[in-house]
Amino acid sequence: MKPKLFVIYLLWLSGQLFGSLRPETLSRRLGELSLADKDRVLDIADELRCPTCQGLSVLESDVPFSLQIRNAVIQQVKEGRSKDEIMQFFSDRYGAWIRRQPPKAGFHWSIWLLPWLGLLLGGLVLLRFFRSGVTGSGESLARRSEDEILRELDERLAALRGVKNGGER
Amino acid sequence: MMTMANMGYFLLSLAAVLSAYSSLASLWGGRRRDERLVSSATRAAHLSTAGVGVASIFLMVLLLDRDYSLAYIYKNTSNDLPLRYTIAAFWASLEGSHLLWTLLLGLFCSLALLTAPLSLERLRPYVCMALQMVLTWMLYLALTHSNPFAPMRPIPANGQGLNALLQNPYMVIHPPLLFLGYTASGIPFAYAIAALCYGDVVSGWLLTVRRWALVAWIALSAGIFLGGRWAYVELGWAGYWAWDPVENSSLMPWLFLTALLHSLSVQARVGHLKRLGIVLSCLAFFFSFFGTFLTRSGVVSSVHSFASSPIGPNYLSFLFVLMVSAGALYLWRSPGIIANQMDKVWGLSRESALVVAQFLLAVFALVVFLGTLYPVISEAVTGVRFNVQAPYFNSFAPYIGALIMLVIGWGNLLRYRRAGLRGGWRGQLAAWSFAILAAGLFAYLGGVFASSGFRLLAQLVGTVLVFWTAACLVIELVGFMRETRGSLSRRIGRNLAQLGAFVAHLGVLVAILGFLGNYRGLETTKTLNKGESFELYDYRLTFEALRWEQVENALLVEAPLRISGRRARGEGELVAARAKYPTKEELFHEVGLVSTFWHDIYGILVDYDQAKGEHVTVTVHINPTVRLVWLSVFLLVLGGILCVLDRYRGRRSLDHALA
Repeated sequence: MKPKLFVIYLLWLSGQLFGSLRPETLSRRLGELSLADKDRVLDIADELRCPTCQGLSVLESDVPFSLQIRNAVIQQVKEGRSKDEIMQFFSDRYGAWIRRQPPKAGFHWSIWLLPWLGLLLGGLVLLRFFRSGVTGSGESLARRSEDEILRELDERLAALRGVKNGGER
Repeated sequence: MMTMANMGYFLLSLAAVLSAYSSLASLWGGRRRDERLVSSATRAAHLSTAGVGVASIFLMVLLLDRDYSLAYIYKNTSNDLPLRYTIAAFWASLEGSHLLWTLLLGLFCSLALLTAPLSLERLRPYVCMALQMVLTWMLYLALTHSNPFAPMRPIPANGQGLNALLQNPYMVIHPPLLFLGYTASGIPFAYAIAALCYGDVVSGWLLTVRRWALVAWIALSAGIFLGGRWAYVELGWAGYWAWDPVENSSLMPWLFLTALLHSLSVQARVGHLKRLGIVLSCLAFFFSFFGTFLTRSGVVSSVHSFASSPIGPNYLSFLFVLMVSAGALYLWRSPGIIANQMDKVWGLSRESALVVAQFLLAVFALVVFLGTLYPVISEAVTGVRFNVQAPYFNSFAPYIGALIMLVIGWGNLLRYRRAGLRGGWRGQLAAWSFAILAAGLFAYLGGVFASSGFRLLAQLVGTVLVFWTAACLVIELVGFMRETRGSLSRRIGRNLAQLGAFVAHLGVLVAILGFLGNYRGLETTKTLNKGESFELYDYRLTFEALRWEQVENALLVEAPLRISGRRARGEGELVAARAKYPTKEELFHEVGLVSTFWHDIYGILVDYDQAKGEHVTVTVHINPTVRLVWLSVFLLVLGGILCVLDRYRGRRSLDHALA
């Protein structure tokens, strides 16, 4: 067993022993907080990973270990610590895997910015593409004489023939 | 004496040899235009399919016999397993699902070869070559790393039993549907390779590729949604989509198939984007294959993945070879594939909107791809493995979804080759006012809106956009039908693809409406003694007493909660339960679910008094609009089927007229 997994297992076990006796409901603990603090707790808890589940946050899961972390978050919010501080606290304690998304810092900016960059650059390229080939006014929209169409077809056929002959040798 | 298992293994070896011969012979025969060699290769392909088919039948027979002398059967079945899950055990784990994948690809290959029209005669050898190459590799893996017929000694008396999470009706149908989708996307890929080998997109290519892409798209849509349904009723976290790596890997080919279908409709009407069609066909299959790899490699952990196995690197290296060779082939051959008109002006038109739609789908795929692989990327670059889960994806999905809706709405109203919206500004005015009214009504009736902040804003904007897009679709359909002539049945029969697209787009909108409801969810966890009750969202839930029930092979501990209160409409009781399977130690969730039109009441039995059954702890969620998500899959599938049935679409293409 990997050491990290073993630690998780021990934590889970202790959670089982101490936490499961009386699962504390999130709603009651939250009741003591102000509305703004409540939103912050939900926000932070949604970004912390449930250690013993697959793909869930501590907000979504009700296993004892999640409840423990959730309570710790509530405690720290009450003490007035900021979101970054709290995330850092859990990162230091459990390692980066506790985060459900990479922080917006350093190399991690790439994953946050690439989609927007792609959208922006791609959009510009598409705009150019749509506008290109406009000769004169909108009158030119695919209006051509029959001769011209025939000439194009001939060109196209010649081009195709060239490819096939080239391909077959 | 040769046992059935030995014969199965022998047949797989034979199929591997036949496939290898078939791919080489069809390539050689295709280049040399050697009819006899090509037909020999085709026959070898059919024989290989037959071999895999008989081997699969053998495995199924052995499964039904519960022959534990096979390791695969020992690991995935047990004496107590009901019949339908014994059948489903075929695809419950690595070896069997690999065999099913191979079988389906073989069947589709044979079907594609048999149904290829005469106009595609010159492409057929290359189609055979591409698919048999993939099949050779899959069969090689089945023989070496993933042998379903591997023996088990000494022969045990009982098996380990099927993974309890898979003992669910949706698991019987969901994986085969996904595999159908993955493998059917191999046919457009093969035709893309064939077009490159031959040197041009010949007439008839479009119709055939479109049909196969639709088949893959329908199967994949249904498979993805049923997988979500499975997660919803089986995993017990009140959601259906976790942006899990394996879920993502089924979404990526779906996105590319969707983009491909839009690209093909531009190609049919305008004669452009031939090369893009080829690229998208390839990408859809690469990502199908990538998903297959991801599920089996253990590179990223997932609820759906099999245990990590040495087969992973083999998949990946083959995918790499496939991508490099397809890329090289594309660079070499694609310059000869030319659009129908050289002086095309795109401007503001339907075809431009279709290109934008494909672009947005590709960006969405990029987000999903980055997020799925970021744990590996971050580990390689920074040395620390950073996870990417739902919050990352959810911070992009709403914006991309909104853009996609705008493009669906306006794109449908635009005309091919011309500027101007159908319905004009009056139509837009009507659509926007309808949307605001309908969104208001929806909010009032459904009670689905979150309390504050970004979630509320997203819901409001999203709901208005959904109804606006729906209105645009209706304006377009009515206008289009007015332009057609003849009797109603003829007008419908001739334009099934138009109707199908309408229904499928409507399905997308219904799904988005369903997703939007998820911004609000109510939940509460309570510990209740016998006879105690609590209120949630104007429902009163009363716990009466625990009861035990034997359902097939599982013993259920059920905590029935009687539903009463102001909102109750005779729903009866919500039964959250835990299940004990004979071959498994731990208890599994059996979710309690009561659905009304607007929301689901979803109950999980968190804990119960094991000694006396005096008290239970339950979590109850109110999930709005989930039913719309399940409704949408019917619309998507129906829309897809209508499009497949259209015999006219694609034949009227410019491509055809020029040939």
